[in-house]
Amino acid sequence: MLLFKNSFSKIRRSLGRFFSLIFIVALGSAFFSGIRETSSDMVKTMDKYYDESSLMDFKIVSTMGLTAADVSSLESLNHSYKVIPSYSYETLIDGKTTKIYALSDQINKIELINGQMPAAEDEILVEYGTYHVNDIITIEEEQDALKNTTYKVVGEVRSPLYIYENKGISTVGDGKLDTFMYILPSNFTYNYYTEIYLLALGSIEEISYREAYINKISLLEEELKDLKPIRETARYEEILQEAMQEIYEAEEELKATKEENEQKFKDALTLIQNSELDLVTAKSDYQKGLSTLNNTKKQTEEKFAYENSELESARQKINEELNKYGITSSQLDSFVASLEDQIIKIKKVMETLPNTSEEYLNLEKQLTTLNSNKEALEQIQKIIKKTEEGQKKLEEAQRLWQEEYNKNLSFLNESHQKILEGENELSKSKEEYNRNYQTYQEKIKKAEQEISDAKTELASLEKPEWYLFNREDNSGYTTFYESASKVDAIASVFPIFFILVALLMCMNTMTRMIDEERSEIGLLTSLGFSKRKIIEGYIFYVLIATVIGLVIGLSVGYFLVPLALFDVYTSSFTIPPLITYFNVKTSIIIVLVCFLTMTIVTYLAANRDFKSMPASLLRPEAPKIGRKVLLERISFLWRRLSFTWKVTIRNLFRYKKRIIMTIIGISGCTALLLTGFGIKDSINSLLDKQFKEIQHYDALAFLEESQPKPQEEITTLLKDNAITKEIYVNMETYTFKASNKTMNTYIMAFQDITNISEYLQLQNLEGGTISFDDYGVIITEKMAKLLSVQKGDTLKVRSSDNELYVLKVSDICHNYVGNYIYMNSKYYEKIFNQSTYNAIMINFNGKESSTIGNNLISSPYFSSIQYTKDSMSMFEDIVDGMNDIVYLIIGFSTFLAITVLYNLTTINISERKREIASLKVLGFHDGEVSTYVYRETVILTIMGSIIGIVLGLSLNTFVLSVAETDEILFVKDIHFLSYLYTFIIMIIFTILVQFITYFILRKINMIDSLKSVE
Amino acid sequence: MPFINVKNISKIYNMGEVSIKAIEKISFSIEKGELVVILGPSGAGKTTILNILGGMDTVTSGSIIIDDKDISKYSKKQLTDYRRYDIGFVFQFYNLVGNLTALENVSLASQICKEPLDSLTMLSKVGLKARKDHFPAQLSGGEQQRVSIARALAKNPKLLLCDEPTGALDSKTGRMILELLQDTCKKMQMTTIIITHNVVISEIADKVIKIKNGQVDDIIINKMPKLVKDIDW
Repeated sequence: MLLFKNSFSKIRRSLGRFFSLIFIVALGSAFFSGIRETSSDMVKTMDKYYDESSLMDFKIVSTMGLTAADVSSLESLNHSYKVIPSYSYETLIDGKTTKIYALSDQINKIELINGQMPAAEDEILVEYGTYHVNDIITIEEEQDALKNTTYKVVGEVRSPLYIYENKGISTVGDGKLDTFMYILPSNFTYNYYTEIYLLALGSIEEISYREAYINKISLLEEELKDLKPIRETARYEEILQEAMQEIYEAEEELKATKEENEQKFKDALTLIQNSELDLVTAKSDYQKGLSTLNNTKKQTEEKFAYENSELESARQKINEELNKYGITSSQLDSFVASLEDQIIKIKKVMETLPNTSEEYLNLEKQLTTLNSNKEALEQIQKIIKKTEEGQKKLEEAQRLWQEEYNKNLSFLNESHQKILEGENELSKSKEEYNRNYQTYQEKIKKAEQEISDAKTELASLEKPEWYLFNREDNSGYTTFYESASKVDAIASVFPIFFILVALLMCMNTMTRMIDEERSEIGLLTSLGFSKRKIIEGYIFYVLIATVIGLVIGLSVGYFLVPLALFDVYTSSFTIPPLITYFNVKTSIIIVLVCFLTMTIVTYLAANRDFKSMPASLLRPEAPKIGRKVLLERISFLWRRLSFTWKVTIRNLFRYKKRIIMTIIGISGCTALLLTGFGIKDSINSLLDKQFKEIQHYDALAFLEESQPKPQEEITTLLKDNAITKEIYVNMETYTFKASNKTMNTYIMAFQDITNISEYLQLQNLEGGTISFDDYGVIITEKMAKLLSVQKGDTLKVRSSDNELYVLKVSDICHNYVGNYIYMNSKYYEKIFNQSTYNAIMINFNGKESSTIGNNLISSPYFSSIQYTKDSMSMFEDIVDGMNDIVYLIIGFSTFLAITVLYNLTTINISERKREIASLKVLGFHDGEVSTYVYRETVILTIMGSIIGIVLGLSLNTFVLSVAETDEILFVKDIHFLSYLYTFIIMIIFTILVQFITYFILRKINMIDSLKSVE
Repeated sequence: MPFINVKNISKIYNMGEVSIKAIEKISFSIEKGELVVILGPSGAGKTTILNILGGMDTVTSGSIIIDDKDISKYSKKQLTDYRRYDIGFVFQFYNLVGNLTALENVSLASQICKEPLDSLTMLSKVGLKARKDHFPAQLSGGEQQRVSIARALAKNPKLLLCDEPTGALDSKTGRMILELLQDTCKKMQMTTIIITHNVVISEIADKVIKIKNGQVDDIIINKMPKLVKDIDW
């Protein structure tokens, strides 16, 4: 108990030493646990998020859609836990590639940030930060996938599928998915599912990314791979059957249509023919009628003429007869009447006269003549009457005839008119018939063609293919892990370095402490305390410091460091806030390691002293024998050195252990510092090199329609906006596989490479300029590395619709961000079999980019513009984030460096307190005394720094190579300034520490020199 | 005017509420070339006197005139220079720099002085010319003390202060050291002050200043100081 009390009083006596122990332990454990835990916290935080949002383990899409039968067969798999069929549709909205998903509360559950869930089919959820609630979204593309084309935004969401800025590939637009939206599933009109999501049995219990998780899901993956060909065939047959059915139905229908229409047309044709015949008959009837009428007319007129002439001759005869009587026909009646009167008068006279009288006989004779005249005249009268009657009759007949003739003629004219009309109508119907028939024929032909096409198509119908995706195919999911592993990679190197240096310092401190207390130990031993008890006292002392240090260190490490580092990643990820976990296992390990090493270090230091007997412990430790060093052999040099220098040099060689420790400590800190600066250099110069030197074009303007060659209107438009020397380029996203990962690459094919140097500076790895080759492509350095290809090798890339292309590498160029494949038009046309270009590379030539951008976009030629400065600022976010880690490293290293230097100097001083006091007594000035002490530290600092810089170079290279992503190649050279900074910081620390020690030195009492050696 | 004139010096340590008088109103004078022994038991205050004479400590009151200069008024900086140029110090535990050879230890002191004596000569004078390249750890206690004396003398000081120079040595070696001190004192006319609790040593002094309870108990002037070899150890 007394010894423990002694330990406490030791703490009081040497607070500086105690605190430096606490500080070292705290620093070491904070850095170790912090950086180590950050990655684990990040992964656990994300796992919780994935679990809560039921992120899919697998996604199946098929080239021909998926069916309920697929779903049920997936459900019957042993290792499937949930099978959720769903829909999605990709389109361009406001020029942005958008994927519209069916909303589900079972899988990939979204997180509503703003607004509410959709209740109606025309309501939509958008990605947080893109549109606002109540905005109207219109799908411009003509489509039949969705019921509605206009939607109202009701909420803003986050999706576990898209936690990263880079959302992956799309099949529309520029091939890069820009955003996502959610609508009610009932909105989709597909008669098949576009995708099926799966959760593997038990995967939720495992932590994502970890091996246990991968093992769980690979059980399901095996089953899926087995099921895949079966379902593909089933779907193939189903589609084949459906298609055949459809073809049969179509043929049937065609046949029916044909039959029905053929009859109709036939009937119509008969009708036409009949009416044509009728028309012909009518025509001939008309002709006949007309000629009959004319004939009749002729005959009748002849007859009438004859009758007329008959009548004329009769009248002539009459007239001739009448002439005999000397009368005209008009006098006839009165003549006859006069004759009658005469006869009557004669008769009367006769009656009066005897019958035989002459008179009488005369009279009688007269009478007979008169009678015969009268009779003749009466006869003529009769004839005249007859003639007149005949005349009348003829006239009547003529009138009747004329009437009839007229009637017949008008009838004939009418039928003629009718015939003309009929003819007209007929030609019209004929025309119509022909037209209809032709249309019908075409229709039939088309239908037949369609059927035959369908048949040919069916004959060449490829089997549908299932594509199996897991979380690894989600760029957010993998990139996040990469980021976390980056921290892990740093975590695996830095803390070990750190702990090593810290342990070294503790050992140094404890050794010194025990050395200083040599006589106390001797006293205690001689008083009869056991060796164990005494050592326990020291261990107790160390452990108090360790416990306090660990409490501080672990709290900072587990709760502050991860939060600080996590901030880095929120810039490019949309993810929930970090949950910090206290890792019991790691803590126990850290605590045990610290306790154990501290105990061992203390034990070893103390035990060394116990090897000597108590009596000798009471005597001062025999001083180390000074030794001549090699340098002294070069006497002309040695002689020139002052004594303080000589002492310094000899000291350096005398206390080898301390030198080694100092150098390790200082070089470790320097290496850490340099690495910090090195990382900073790499990531900062990266962007300038990439976007100002290599890809120094200002923007890529994407064309509304791909063009095979420069278009005059566009050139004019560009010229109006002060843009010249533009280059048409075809830019598309392709994927390639390297080390089992699918990665993105941009293919850029240039229509004309004359002015390429205005936009791109392609340098090969030896620094020479690269020229394009008609027989190959230029790929970027990182991609070449990932694929381990060289000039002359080939590489495989796949388009977004999974088409494979094999390209020959003609050269490899420097590049830092992204993977690119460049080629000229000749190779492009040859390989891709197309010759249109979807974008134009432009420079704004110092003009306001937004104005020009607007001018271009508002023209009908451009759909979107991708500004280089935007890409740059996106990477700047990431770089800013990485800078935070660097500052953390620099900060920790700085603390460590100060502690190490302080510790070393104080130890150095305390070891030589007596010597220093003596020098003071001898009349050395404070400055001279300080130099005497520092010079060693300065030399060691310089040596340590130089070694540290060499070490830092390798450490930097190592850390950068683990921190590199697939898209980024770090510039591995460290700026001269960074070396300088590191060096200056070390020197500043040295000076700072010496400044402190100057005061410690001044406090050293000269009278100590008079005391006996302790 | 004596070479050293100490007048009424007191040193009071203020330890919070108590003040301890280490020495009180001490006065004495020493002539140039004298060998003086300051004698007293432990805790009498002789070390305080040494510290004050050696410029390592200041007085609370009183004055110390050494070679016409009042060092009691000196600043810290002046005291350092005083130590540097005027004082040669011989420690009880030699206090050699372990990493310098015997010769280098001597030169170490001489290089900061204005008119140093030749180091090698000094080393020969103490009889260690043959061992000039040896490190302290390779020398015996007596040899180390001799180097220490050579170091003090090489500075060509006005005053040689020796703090229990034989305290850590056996009697034979101690005698040799005393002989050396007496010898150099006489030969080089070096004012030498030896501080000791050993009464025997006082026999070789020209003047013995006895200190008791922080005050001068007695000052004895030996008309005929004994030679070292004559004293009874």
